Amino acid sequence: MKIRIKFSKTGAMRYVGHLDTMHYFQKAFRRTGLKIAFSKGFSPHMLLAFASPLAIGMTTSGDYLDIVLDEDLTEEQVLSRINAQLSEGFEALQAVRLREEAKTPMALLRAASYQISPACIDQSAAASIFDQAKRMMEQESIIVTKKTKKGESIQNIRPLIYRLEMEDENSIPVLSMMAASGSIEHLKPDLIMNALVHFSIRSGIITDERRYEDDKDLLWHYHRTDLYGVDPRILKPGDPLGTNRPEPLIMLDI
Amino acid sequence: MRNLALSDDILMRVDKPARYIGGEFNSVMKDPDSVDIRFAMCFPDVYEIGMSPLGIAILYDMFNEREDTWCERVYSPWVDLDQIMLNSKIPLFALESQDPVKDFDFLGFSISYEMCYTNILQVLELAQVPLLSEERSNEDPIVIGGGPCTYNPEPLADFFDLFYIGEGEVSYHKLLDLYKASKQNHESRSCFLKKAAQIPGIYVPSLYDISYHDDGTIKRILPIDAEVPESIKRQAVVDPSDIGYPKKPVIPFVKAVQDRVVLEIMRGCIRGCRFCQAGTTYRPCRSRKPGELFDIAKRSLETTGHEEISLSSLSTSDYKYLSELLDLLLPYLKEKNVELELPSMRIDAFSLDIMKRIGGVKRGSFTFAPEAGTQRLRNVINKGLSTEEIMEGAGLAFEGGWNKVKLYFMLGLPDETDEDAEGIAELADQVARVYYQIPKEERNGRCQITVSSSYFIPKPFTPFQWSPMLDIREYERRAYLVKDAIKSQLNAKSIRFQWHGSEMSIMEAVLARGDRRLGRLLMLLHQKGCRFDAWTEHFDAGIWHAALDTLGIDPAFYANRTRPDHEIFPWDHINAGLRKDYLLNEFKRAVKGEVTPHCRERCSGCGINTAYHGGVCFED
Repeated sequence: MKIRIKFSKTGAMRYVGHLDTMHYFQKAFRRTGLKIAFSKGFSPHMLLAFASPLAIGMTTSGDYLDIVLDEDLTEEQVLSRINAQLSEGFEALQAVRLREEAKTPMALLRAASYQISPACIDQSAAASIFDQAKRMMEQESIIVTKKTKKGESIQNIRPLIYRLEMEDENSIPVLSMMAASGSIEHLKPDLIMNALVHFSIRSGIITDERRYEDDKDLLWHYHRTDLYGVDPRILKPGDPLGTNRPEPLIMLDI
Repeated sequence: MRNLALSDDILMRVDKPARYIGGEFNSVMKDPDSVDIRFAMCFPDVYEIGMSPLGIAILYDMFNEREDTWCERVYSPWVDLDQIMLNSKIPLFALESQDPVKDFDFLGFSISYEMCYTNILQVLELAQVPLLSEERSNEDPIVIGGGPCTYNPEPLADFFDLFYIGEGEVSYHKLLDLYKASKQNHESRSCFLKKAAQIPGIYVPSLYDISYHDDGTIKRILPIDAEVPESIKRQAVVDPSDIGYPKKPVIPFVKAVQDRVVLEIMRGCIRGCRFCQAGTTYRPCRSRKPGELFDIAKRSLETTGHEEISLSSLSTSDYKYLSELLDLLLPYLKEKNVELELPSMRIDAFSLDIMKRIGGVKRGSFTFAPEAGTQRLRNVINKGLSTEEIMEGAGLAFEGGWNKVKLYFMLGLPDETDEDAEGIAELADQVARVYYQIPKEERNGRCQITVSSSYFIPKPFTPFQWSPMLDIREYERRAYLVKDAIKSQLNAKSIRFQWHGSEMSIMEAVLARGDRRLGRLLMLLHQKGCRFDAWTEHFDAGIWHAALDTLGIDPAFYANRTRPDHEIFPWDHINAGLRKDYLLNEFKRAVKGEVTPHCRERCSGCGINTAYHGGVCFED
């Protein structure tokens, strides 16, 4: 039986890296006593697949793993068995049974959504930066330089940002973001935030640039809210999302 | 939701921040107001190292089972964090509660190797606890040390209020009960320590005066008054079924060095190799029953979810019930897809058979530890492994499909000559020849022999505690001798040679047989910023030598001197259960190359059977 689990990783658990998170879940699943399916061959391993690594420091309430079990249970039973083995900061939120032929969450992944809030920056400064999102998104291109092994490369990231806007009705400023994610195109959220900060500097909203440059890794808190994929059977070339609205991975049993 | 002691911007700046957050699965949370004793247990190295050993897991479980006690863990902050904590005055905290360790009742250290001593001082400083025992007040935690290095704790005497000598399961409850009563009666710290000294196994260094001869050797170790015991006896659990086993080991967030269930099948060893301190200080050899071990293994795997289990002992081949245990364990492990590791096995028909059962089709490497290159020198060190056994074992392993061998040796052993060093190369070559005697069609690829040698360090409570350590230049010369001798062997292409240890080994040797006066050395090293000295990338021999120079301490006095028969050693007031004259006699026999049979062959009267009433001494 193939099962997809949506899980959250919050609080102090944001400091557990991706590899360590995978090992954490491997041990947790063993402790459930569920009959876990293992691969055949010389080094049998658990058939456990994660959708996408999460950088240290980020929290999530919408990450996914698929696991194959050698027994049949209801989705609620699996959910309660795994939750009993999770410590504070990890929680299994939803479980969905998949068809045997379902693709891995990593193969399906196309986009991720985030909520960004101020960490080491005061709220009014954050709000004025977030406010620039709409104007930045009106541009046709947003150029960033990335350091690669061969030097630097220039990329227009605008087409990979699907949504960037300040959320209303929040006591603290929150920026809502959706961007390309996965093996075909992947845009890290901190690249978008750096671009937004630079845009705000060029627009004169920010004046003490140096401070933002030095602290740039510490300014924001990133919370991934969900991961999305698209049914590959209805994809058109050159239109990775376009007319096809991506669905949360929990809904995709393909 | 717990509040973390370190802020987000610090955690985002350091490597592996998950080391400092606590809240791991199976970690114990209690309400601090509901307990009488708060115990901070420290392994003075980084999290991934400190989370591995069994000793802390045993005590963590034992203390937390008491309703009146909450035991939490603390480890050395890594080099990218300790300066930040000092500069920002963030006190060192325990992982579970994130509370400052200085507010605890006890700060305990598990002391496994000498090169971690500077980390102990680092921890005390970060904890904001006065480094010197004599400067602590009633408000400071009681600083206690346990573990293998407590057999000679003297270099640390200035920094510890108490040492616990031996196995923790025996006397810790008495100590905690005494502390609780003492606290309730508002007794002074010194009053408590004096009473604690009456508990078997508890050593209070401040209650002993050490005087020295002009030549620097010890004149007398004197208790300050008649109430203080003259010697402190190592505590040992006589019947292993009396001790519990960690029921719910904490699962680390960062992959630990020992990322598996460790099943202690036996404590102690029967062999009596003369260089080995673990062998003497864990006597008598005591085994657990296979049924009990199987239950413990199942429970441990169920509560941890580990993918691997290792059978731990000093010499697993000597565990009498190994077949029965494997008969119980292997089907269960196969069903659960858990791998089994079996270190410390002799290479003979029996163990190869076992390794085949476990290993499936894959063959890793097999290991011999001859320790010395010639039979003569092996007899000197009482390593009962003959050349015939090695060749026969190698032959069986090669026929069984193995083609990789590791051979472990030491250089600098007592009475060692150049011939013995060259013997290492010849032995390795002989093993290779055994391989190439197998017809080509039946071989499994090329033979790869790795010869590894380390620098011998004489340790307290072994027959070699009178022996000098080899001079470092002489050690290096012999290592090159082995290297050249290997190059000239017939099968040189099949043999790889690795050797290690030099300056760090010298310092380890100084501390291992050091006395109290080395407390000044540790203090100076600490002030110079030394920590993580067990790590080659952080150990700086230059600083150590400069510190020794500044204090006028000659490392050769501790490391390279031959002790006269009747010298008083800094650890003589500690009673490990073995008679000192037995050890001296073993040293004399070593020099003559006389072999002493192991405990199951014949009792050699080491004194253990009168000191403790159990184990192999009383087997039928």
